[in-house]
Amino acid sequence: VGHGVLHQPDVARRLGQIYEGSIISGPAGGVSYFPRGATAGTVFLDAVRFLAETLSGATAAGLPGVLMKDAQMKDICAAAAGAMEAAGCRIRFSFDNARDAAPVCAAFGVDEAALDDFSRRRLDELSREAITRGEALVVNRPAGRPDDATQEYGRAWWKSLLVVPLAGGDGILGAMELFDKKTGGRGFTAADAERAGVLASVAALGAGRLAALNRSERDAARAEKRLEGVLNSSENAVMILDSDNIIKYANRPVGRWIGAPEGEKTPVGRLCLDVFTEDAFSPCRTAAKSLAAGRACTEVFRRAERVAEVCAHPVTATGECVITIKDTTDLTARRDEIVKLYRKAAETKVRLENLIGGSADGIVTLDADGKVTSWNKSAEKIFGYAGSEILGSFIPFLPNVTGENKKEFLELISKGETLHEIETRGYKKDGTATDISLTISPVKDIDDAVTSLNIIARDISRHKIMEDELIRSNQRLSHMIFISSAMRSTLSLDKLLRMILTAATVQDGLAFNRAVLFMHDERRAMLTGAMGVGPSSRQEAVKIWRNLSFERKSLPDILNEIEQGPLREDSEFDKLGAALEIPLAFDTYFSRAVAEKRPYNVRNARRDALSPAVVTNGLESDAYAVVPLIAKDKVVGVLWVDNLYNERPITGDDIEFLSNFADQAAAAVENARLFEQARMAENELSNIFESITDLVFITDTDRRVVKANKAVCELTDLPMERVIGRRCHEVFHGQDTLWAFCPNFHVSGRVKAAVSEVEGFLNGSAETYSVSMSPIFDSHDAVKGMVHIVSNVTEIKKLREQLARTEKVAALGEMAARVAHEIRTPLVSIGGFTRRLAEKIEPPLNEYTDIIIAEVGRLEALLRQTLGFVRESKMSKELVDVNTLLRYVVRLLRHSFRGEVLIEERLTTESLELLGDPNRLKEAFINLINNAHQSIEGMGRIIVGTRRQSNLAVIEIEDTGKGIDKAEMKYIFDPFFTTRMQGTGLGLAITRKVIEEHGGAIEVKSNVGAGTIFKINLLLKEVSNEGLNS
Amino acid sequence: MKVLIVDDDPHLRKLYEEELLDEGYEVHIASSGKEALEVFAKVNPDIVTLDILMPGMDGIEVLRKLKDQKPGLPVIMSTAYDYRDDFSVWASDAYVVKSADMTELKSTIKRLLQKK
Repeated sequence: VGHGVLHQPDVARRLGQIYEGSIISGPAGGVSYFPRGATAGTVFLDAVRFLAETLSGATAAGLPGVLMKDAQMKDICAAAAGAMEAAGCRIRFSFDNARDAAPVCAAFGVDEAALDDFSRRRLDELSREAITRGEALVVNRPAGRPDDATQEYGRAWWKSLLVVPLAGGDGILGAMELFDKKTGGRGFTAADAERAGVLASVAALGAGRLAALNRSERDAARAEKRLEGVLNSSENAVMILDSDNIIKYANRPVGRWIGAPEGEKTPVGRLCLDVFTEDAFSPCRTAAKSLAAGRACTEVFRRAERVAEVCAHPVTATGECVITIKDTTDLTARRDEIVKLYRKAAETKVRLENLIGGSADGIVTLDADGKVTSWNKSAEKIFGYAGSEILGSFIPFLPNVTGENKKEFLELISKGETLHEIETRGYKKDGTATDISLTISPVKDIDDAVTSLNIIARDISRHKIMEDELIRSNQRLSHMIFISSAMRSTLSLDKLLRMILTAATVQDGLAFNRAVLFMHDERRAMLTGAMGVGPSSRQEAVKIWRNLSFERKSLPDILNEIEQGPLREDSEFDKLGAALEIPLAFDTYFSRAVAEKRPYNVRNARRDALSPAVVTNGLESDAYAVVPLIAKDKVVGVLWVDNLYNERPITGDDIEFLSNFADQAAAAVENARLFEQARMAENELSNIFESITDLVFITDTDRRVVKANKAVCELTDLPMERVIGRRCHEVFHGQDTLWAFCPNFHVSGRVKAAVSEVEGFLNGSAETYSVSMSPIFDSHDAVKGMVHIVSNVTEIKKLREQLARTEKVAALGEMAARVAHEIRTPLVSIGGFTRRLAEKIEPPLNEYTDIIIAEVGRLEALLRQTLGFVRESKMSKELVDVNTLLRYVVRLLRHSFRGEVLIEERLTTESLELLGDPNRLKEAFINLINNAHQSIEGMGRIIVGTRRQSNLAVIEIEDTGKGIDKAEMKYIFDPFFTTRMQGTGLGLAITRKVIEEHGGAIEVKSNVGAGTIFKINLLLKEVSNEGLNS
Repeated sequence: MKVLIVDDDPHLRKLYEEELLDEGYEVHIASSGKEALEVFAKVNPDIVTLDILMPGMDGIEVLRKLKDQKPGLPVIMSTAYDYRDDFSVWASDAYVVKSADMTELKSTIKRLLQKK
């Protein structure tokens, strides 16, 4: 075998199979080929030798990690092309066993430029195929059809191709491409492929060795470099000590620990103890410890400000020790810092927890879905939920936030907005509402995403209550102002009082449940209930409070409401209140309120002796307040209030408010009272003025009527508007000029009142008027006008005249009676004895006695008549038929009449019955008929007639006598007035007296020379009335 | 028959006495109320004529006392003045206004006595 050494049994085997008997040997352990039968060409063998030698030479040169030189490769290509009689050769080669398209690394006799892209890719594909299959590939382009070949292989210059894979011991490393066989003319044959295979094997063998060598050297270098890099890049110092404590390796950071400038003094090769001399920092000691212990050992050294952690790992197999030195200064510091931070955080946490726990605000955290994740004590207090109940549920205390709402709510907050102090209404576990203020802030993570929500809920119900209270006070105040203006608007006391009570009870007024107003009756020393306003039951209370409000209502509306609403007059409570009476004589809160002029707030009234029973029992009140109504320093009344239904305690504020209100109310009451009095007085005056039957009118200085009463209109028959403004003489006399007899004429200009009696006051009427005139003065004592009081005194005048007459008669009569009495007695003696004498004497003497007797008789008759007139006789009342009576009288008198006087009866057939004294009436009629008879001289006629005129009996006695002189007419009814020589002069006086006693009237009409008619009216007895009455 | 005439006027007493004596009566007279009662007690008259207006006890008082003692006694009130409207004279049986003509008085006495 010579000097050939078979390195690769596989190659040798293949070579042996192909070339039996031939041998090729190389000087440096190359390839030996032993051809077996066929004789190899010299060129081929030379090529193999060249190859083997080249490769061996390269190997011998010991150039690990270096790629074969281009020139060498090109030489190989040339040798291969020569050996295979080819025009060109390319070698594809890759160290990385890239069987795929190994890159072309050398070429000989190939025109690369003539290859287009397609041809190049096609060649790559053919090589890949050969490499993949591990077999030689022969392509001979057909001569005749260049186009087809072009289509398949590209527009290449080559005509034949042989690709052989380069198969080495580690696999296929590449391929050898041989182009255009020069000899034979038929291109490459299978024999060529075999021979090329041998060449390729030899080339591959060398290349494989090269590659392997190359690869291992490169890997080792890389590994060392990598390790070095790793070690150097480490912050930690790493050393390796051998068993002799000599530093075998030290990385760069070790330098930092030995104080040497970087890379200057490497400690490698020095004794560890020489390098690390300080006792305070001795990695050697650690190493010794670890070696002694047989396991890793760690020690911490502190030097100056630095801390080092030395770790020794013993490598027991070699006695070596790996030491790492870690600078933990920063770490320690950081750890300390962390501990500090942690401690701080812990403290903060505790503080926070305390803060949260002890905070008066409810602090709640929610996750991104709005579920509660934490819940502090105050939240528990505010909302009533225990933490355990509420964790994980969706903010139940804000029931308004649900569903869609909830999304919005969360969205708003998840945008990162913080909602500050939103005042809203929260709900407690028991469902009651409470006013809360919420501050909701998002909690963000590092990425600024909202992960949870923080809610601070502040219970502002108290605050709210106070705020509400303030608002309410304000409202109350404005309502009070409104009410007081309303109160001033009415002067009707009743309406005002009701308004006061309503204000005390209406919800947005003083808001008491009930109120009773007591008026102070000073005379009786009593507080008397005037009225009460309030519901009479709890149900009614609720209804009233819901409906009644001063809000947005006009004044007329309220007044209307007061009159028509449930608080109207005559409500149950009103009646109850109005019936109360509290005497001030006893010591009670009421009497004290009146006496001390201060309010009392009474609690526990039932157990309080100073609380009157009418209040505790009658009004069933246990807590109430009494406030005096003080006007002009006088207590005009007491306002009583309580809260029976809602049991709200009456506060000092309430009292103060009530007192203020009471003052105003009292002033209004006083005003209304004064007004009422004034109005009453005015009414009274007006009534008097109007109802007075006398004429009352006032004239100004121009004599124009300024004011007149109804009587003026009635008398003048003028409407009021035609009286007022006109001058008095226009009104009463219908003339433009002053009335000549006007009493005013005389009074005006004077300043004294005057009364005068005038006739013809009204348009010249005969009536008599009394005119009283009083001047009116202004504050400067100037006359402003005149008050006239005019009364028709015609009747009075008549009566007065009648009275005078009666008095005259009475006085006269009394005297007459006295005289008559004194005269009668001697007359009786004279007459009586004369009569006796007359019986005893003879004629002619008895003629004298007869004269005496006759004269005495005449005197007696005179006396009878006189006394009959005078005596105050009692009149009997009998049913008298006037006609019957007259017939009797006529019959009685007819005989005494002279023959030439005829008497005629013209009596009505109607019954004329009346109640009266028949004797007196008889006397009256006799007088009249006698008078008639006596008035007739010579022949004459008397007619006695009766008729009925409505309820009157009219009796007329007419004569054809001489009549009565006009001057005498006035006196004919006077006593003792007579025109005749005979007669008493009392006849007509008696007659009129009788008629007047019967309620009748007598008139006389007379014409001198023609006769006289006496007309008597007597009231008939009303049969129908009598019948009805009985 | 006994007639008691009471009058303060002596002439009238005389006139009445004589006239009534002529009529056949037994006539007693008294000039005052006091005397009238005394005479009445003594003679027990059948009829009395009484003047009303007298000094001292007047006729009306006498009338009352007479009627007390003897209710059935006819009493004629004889007066110069018409007192018929006076309630006090109602108790009397008749009323005669004094007159020179004694006819009425005599007939009244006669009637009352006959009635008796």
